[in-house]
Formats: sequence, structure tokens, C-alpha cells
Amino acid sequence: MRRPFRRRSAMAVWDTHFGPNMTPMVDVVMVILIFFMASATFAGGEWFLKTGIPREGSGRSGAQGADPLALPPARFEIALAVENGRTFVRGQGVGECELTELPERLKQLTATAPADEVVLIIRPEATVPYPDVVRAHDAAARAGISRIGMMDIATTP
Amino acid sequence: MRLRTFHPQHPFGSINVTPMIDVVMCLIVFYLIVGKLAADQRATIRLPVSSTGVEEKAQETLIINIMPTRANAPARYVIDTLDVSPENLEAAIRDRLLDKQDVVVELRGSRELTYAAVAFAMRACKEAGVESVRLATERVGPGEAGWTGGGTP
Repeated sequence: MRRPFRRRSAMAVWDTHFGPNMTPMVDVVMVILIFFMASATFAGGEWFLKTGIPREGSGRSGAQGADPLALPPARFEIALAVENGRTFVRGQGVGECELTELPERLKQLTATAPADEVVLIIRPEATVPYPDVVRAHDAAARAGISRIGMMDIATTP
Repeated sequence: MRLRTFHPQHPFGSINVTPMIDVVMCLIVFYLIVGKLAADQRATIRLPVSSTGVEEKAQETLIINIMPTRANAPARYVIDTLDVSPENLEAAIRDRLLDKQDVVVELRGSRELTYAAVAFAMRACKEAGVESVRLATERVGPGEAGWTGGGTP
């Protein structure tokens, strides 16, 4: 009996392939790919807010930089306080409002004073939730203020 | 039927090592990742969200993790996976900044905290001579969940 197709020997099959053998390379590349994917999921998803830690009374101490005649930056201080579970903002330039209104107020503030010449100090009370402090910082950064500091706990009289 | 030829010098035929190398490499990568995570300074903390921020790699960072504890207890401060008691925090920071320059201090505070716990760490940083810190936050687009509203999310 004759087979319709002759089975080829291993050598003959091998001869039909040409070029490098890709299989091990694909294996290795896949492992590397998975490694980078896994490390990316652990590293991603977060960033940082830069915050100064001002010292008490360091506010208007002289001009910065080489120019002795340069004006010190306009310094605004806003206090955060909690009343009935809501966070309120009180301070120069923004008046008194709820935290949700702070972005608007800061926009008005930076409309009158150039944002890059403003130093904003946030002074939260001890009971203010930390996410609200971050939110105030976020609002300030969104208004274009880059120099933001956070004071120690405000003591309520 | 042809019987397999008997090679006295290869009693099992030739062993294909490629799958073995694959498996071993997977294991190596797995242990590398696990080891990296275990040695990481970062603890698993639910960070507060922010729509602004900077993404920059610092040469050297000192990461201070601030974690909430049971109700009304003081927060836990963790540096390098080690618990640091609040009274030792300043000394621990000072110790780690010793003889080093351009160390960025990173505060990773949980979103369940009040400012008191974070302010404590900032005060310790200030006493240790640190002039600025960076607060780690979870990135979120403006207007996304967690951005509006005055209370805790």
C-alpha cells in the first residue's frame, strides 16, 4: 500500500525551516514583558504634592535671591477648620467659605495677584481630615500657585 | 515497526532543556518581584486623591508612611518597614538624613487620617532640619471622583 503523502524525516522537516529559531526568544521576551507590566502596575498611579514647611516668623524676612530691592512674595495664609463635619476655609484673600468654593476663591485671588508671586500657607486645624488638606493644596496648585507651605496645627482659641 | 536505536552514551535520549529554562526563569522573575515588594519602603496605604501633582524621581527618598490605627489612637509611623514611635520619629529622620544631601522626604499619609497625625510628622521633619516635603497622593483627573465635596470621601 502506498501512502498518498510520504512522511518526511525530522531532518527533512528541519531543512524546510530557515532563519533563526524564534521560539526561545519569544519565551524570553514574553517573560520580560510580563515583568515590566507587573512592575508598572505597582509603580503607577501616584504623584506628589510639593509642600514647604515654613518656620514661624520666617514669613517676610527679607527679599529672596540676589536682588536686595526685590519685593518679598505676597504671602497669604488660609486656615482650615471643621464644623459639623464640613471643612471651612478662612483667610486673607479668600474670605470665609466652604472648601468646595476654595478653587473659585483662589481663582479670584490669582486674578489680582500673579500666581507665581504668591506664597500660600495652609494652616489646618488638628481635626481636619487629611484628604481635605490635600484638596486645599490641590486647589491652590490648580490655581497656579506653586509655592505652597503647610503650617503646624492651628490652635483654636 | 522500527525500534528506537539504543545509544549507550545517552541512556535517556537527549533532554530538552528549553522548557526547564522557561520555568526556572519564570520562578526567578517571580521571586525577584516578590523580593522587591518585600524590601520596598512603601507600605500599602490608601492615599488621598489629587488632580495636580508632580511626577519626578528623586535620587534618594526618605519615605515616612503614616497609617491610621484603631479609633482615637495615635497614628503609626513606619520608615523602612520599621515602626517608629512618635517620640523617636525626629531622631529617626535626623539619623537617616545624616551626612546625606538632596534627600527628598516623602510623606505617605493615609486618607483616613486627620491633619494632626500628618502635622506631627511635618513637625518632626522641621525639627530635623527639613525644609520641604512631598505628599504622596493618588492621581485623579479634575472632576473625577473624590475631587468635589467638602467632607471625607
